[in-house]
Amino acid sequence: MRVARTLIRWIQPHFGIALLALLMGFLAAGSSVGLMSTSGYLIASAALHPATILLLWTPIVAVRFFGLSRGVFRYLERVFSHEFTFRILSDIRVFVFRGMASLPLSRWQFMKSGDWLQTVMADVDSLQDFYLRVLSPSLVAMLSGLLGSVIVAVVDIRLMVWFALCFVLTGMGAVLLSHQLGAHPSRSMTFEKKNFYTRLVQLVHGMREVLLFNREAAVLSELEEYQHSWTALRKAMIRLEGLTDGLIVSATAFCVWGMLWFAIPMVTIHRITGVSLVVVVLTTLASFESIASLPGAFSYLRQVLDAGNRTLTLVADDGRSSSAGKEQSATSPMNGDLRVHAVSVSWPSSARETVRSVSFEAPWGSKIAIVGPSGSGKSTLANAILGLAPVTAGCIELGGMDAAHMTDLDRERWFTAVLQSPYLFNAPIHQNLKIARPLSSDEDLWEAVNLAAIADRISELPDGFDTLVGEFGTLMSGGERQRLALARALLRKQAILLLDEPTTGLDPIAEERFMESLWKVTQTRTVLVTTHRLVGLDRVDVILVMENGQIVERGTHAGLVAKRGKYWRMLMAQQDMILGVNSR
Amino acid sequence: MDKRVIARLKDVRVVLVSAILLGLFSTLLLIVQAQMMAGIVSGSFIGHESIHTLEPLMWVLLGTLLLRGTISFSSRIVVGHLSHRLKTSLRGQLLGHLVALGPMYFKKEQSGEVVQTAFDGIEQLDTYVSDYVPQLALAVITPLAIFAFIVSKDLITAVILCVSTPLVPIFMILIGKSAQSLTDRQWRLMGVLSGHFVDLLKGLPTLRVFQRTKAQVDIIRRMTDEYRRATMKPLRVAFLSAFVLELLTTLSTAMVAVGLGLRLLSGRMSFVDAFVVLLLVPDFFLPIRALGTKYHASMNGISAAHRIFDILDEPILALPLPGRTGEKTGLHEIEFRDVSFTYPGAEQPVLQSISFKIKPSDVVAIVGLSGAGKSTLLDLLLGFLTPTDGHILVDGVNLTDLSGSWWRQEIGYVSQSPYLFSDTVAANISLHRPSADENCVRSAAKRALADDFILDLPQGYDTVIGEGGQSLSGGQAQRIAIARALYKKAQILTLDEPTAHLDVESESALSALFASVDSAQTMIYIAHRLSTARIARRIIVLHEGKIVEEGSHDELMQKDGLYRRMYGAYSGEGLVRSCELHAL
Repeated sequence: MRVARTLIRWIQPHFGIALLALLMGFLAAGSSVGLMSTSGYLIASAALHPATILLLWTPIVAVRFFGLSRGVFRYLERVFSHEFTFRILSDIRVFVFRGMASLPLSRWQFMKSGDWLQTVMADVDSLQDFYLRVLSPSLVAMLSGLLGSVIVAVVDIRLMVWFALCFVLTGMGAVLLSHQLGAHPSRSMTFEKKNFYTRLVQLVHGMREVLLFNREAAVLSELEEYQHSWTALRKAMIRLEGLTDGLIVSATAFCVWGMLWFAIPMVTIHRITGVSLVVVVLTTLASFESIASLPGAFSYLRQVLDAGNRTLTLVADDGRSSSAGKEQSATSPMNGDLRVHAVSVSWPSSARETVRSVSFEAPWGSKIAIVGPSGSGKSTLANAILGLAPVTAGCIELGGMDAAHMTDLDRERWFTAVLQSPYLFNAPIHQNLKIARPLSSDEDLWEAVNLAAIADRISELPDGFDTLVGEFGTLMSGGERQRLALARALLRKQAILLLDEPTTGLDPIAEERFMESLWKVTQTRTVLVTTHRLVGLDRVDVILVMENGQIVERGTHAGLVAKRGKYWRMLMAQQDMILGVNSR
Repeated sequence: MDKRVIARLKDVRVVLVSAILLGLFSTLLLIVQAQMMAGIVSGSFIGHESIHTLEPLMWVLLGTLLLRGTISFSSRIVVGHLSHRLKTSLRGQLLGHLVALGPMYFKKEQSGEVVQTAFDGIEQLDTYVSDYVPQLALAVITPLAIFAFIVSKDLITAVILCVSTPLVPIFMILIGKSAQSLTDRQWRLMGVLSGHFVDLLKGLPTLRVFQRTKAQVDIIRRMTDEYRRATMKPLRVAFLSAFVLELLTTLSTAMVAVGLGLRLLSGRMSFVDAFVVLLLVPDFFLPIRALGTKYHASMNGISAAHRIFDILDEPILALPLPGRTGEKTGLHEIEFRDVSFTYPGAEQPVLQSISFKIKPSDVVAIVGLSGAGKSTLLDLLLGFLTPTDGHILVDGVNLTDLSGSWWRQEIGYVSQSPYLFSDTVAANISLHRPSADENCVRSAAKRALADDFILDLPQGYDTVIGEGGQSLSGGQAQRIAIARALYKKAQILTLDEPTAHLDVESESALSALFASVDSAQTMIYIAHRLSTARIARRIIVLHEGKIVEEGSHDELMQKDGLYRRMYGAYSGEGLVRSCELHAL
């Protein structure tokens, strides 16, 4: 029901145009009823050979009018309903984007693959079509039934009861058959489809593994089985569709049949005229036409509700990080001294704490490296400092202020970051850079790209800063992307710089160079870098060695090497692998 | 209809013929029904007959309408059944072909697009065959049958229909054309818009870090509004042809009705004939109009058919799966004799007259700069490609004469970026031979240094990984892939050494893999680090598709060749740093 409520809520701002579209749809459907009713009236009156043709003048004009008006109203309905749909599309997109933007980052971890994106996009499309394909045809059918009832009621109220009964029962039958009965197979169809899809994706993406581990026959027969159960469901659906078709075809004629049973004796006793009999028969046939669109609408409804459910669940506000979107606060950080005190972090999805009671201090200008094997909690700690991971115990303080109470504005002033595999938008380079600081001047941009040692590459490009990253992206190496992300982060000049595994995907030579230039350009500011590659760390003030969410060692490069502890062992293992000489 | 569909899918003809027969039958019943209704109404209205005299006609009418419902139900079932048969066999063919094409095909093709074709594409073709084709048959049969009937009743109406009907297809084609160019335009626009939206969703973490999510909401609104304005204008024009079509059909009905009235007035026609004609005129246009609404389905179906046949026509470059199995069991001798390979459509060969021999239990590394042809060489060996020139001999037998399935039984493989199936850890390791005992799985995992972290997972070996499951680090995934290869215990072990995402443990796991190779295994691998290369007994140095050097590490270091130059460039700095380390 929350889906229905949300869907209705989206209409409200566009109520006027929605009403207009509905009205036009009704007038179009009404015109076809009118066309048939007046035509019937016309030929029936003519068959009675009235004294003068003038008596037929009114029905002739009416027939011609309805002959014209139907097309006009249909046209207007199309225009208005499309206009309406486009307007609602923008609302739905904003809704989805806002919802996703305030999701905790932990939820994003599950969305690394591209498949969820396709689902979101398809769901947005389904939701957008709700009005065009479900709501409007249903309302138009209802209104046509009402119109038919009024026309029949003018002839005789008892005939109207029969008409209304048939109309409502047929409509409900069509709706129930296509929705209620259809809900089960179409639900399991979604499920089967997903199963099939997943296997298919696995086959395609894991083709090397499937073939080299000789699973091809097994995978194909598995897919065939899914295909079978899918086909069985499809057949159930088709039976249902056929039943609905048959029902509508028979019920329409049956309604006329009953009408004849009741009306002919009335004609015999002159309670109604013969002309009315003709009008009633044709009105009934024309009104029932609008029911034909109901099965399609209601079988689509299931899809819409599922899409709505998925979307609302996706953007549901459980475990939303509390700091996101604070507008104002009484105080601001006094300076850039960062203090992490007994901080624990646990993602809602996992039972264990990812970071356990970690404390350290980073006075303004200090350089801190957090190292450790993958899964040791380094990235989570970095995300917590950025306010992107839920701190469950302890506190992070900046300039004497609890970071949990910081506003977006404060964060903008004090933090900047290069995330693990940073994302570059399909937009001109300058726009990608200005995400960090929209009001940057060209001088700022050049300064930043100079510092990040990517200026030469950009000035080589024919369009310079206007080059689309999409096109450029294909020509860009991993190192260049990393540098561009660094330049972006550096645009925030006096902010604490966090780098999460900045050398991922770089070869050792590029890695060395990157780290060298990093220390050069960040002399005055605080830098926190997480890495599992122990390269260029002799320039760092403090190295924190993490394991299983805890800090197990801390000290300078020289100190930790002399200590011959965990850090030293990691370093040795790394050197060993690069050269492959020491252990043999 | 697409000729290729007709030519390739003989079953479509069966669908078409049965649809025509059922359509014809149903139309005849429709005419009978109209004739009965007209007879009854006229009997009461003109003949002043009582319901009792009309009763026999009433029962015939009831029988007709029930029969019509049954026919409309069963035609769905019959057509649906035929279409399913067609769909199942086509999808089977397609999946079989995809497996035969092997992983190389997906380098060129977007794998997502292929998955879409194999699932949605075939479903769309199903809609085309089960929905559009019968409707097409109806659109021809029903108007023809009704027209023939009307000719026998009223020539003037027949003339009106004769004049207006040819215009209908003309406008339908016009609608189709404009809709086509419109959908093309819309697709491009929609693509830009959706692309932008997807881009924003993908980059959400980045936007979050820089506190830029709020600003994007306005951009989404602005872009959607621009899209609406850009699309509504051509849409309004495109709807015009639909408007004319609509007008044509309703105006014809109106003209027929007015004409009938006038002829009745002058007594040139009987009421019963006029009424039956009026009843049938809407049904004359109905199937043609219904065909118009299915235009979209037809376009989708045709383009899906094109895609499906494009894939089916794709030549197979991989080793055919069925075939002769090799005679020798145990270790194999592999020989490349003058092997060259050129990708289809490419001008330059990737590999040129490569010749070398690999003796049983040899350890061979392939090195070279990126683009030298290392991966292609390995793919040839794995049977994912077959040589354009020359031969690969296994124990003296040409590999192309052998079965791909058999050959891959003999090979263990660790890919550069291993694919994990969404299944348990144990199932991923025992991929080659499922349902083996736990000890084998664990011992393989232990050897790959994966046992510890697997036991730390929430459900240990039963933890579901891969898409939608527990996420693993790149290094952990790599170790599971190594365990998987060790578990297979194949005679020939191949490895495409990973370049990135390696943590210390994974590097150790890799070296454990190298250490575990015994005299009962042949090992062939691509080495990206020269440290792993030097472990090999023999190193093949590739450069621009040719073997430039071959020999052991020491032999190659003696020469002043490419290998020595690469080694120097790569490890020079590392050596210095390592010396420093030991000095401490």
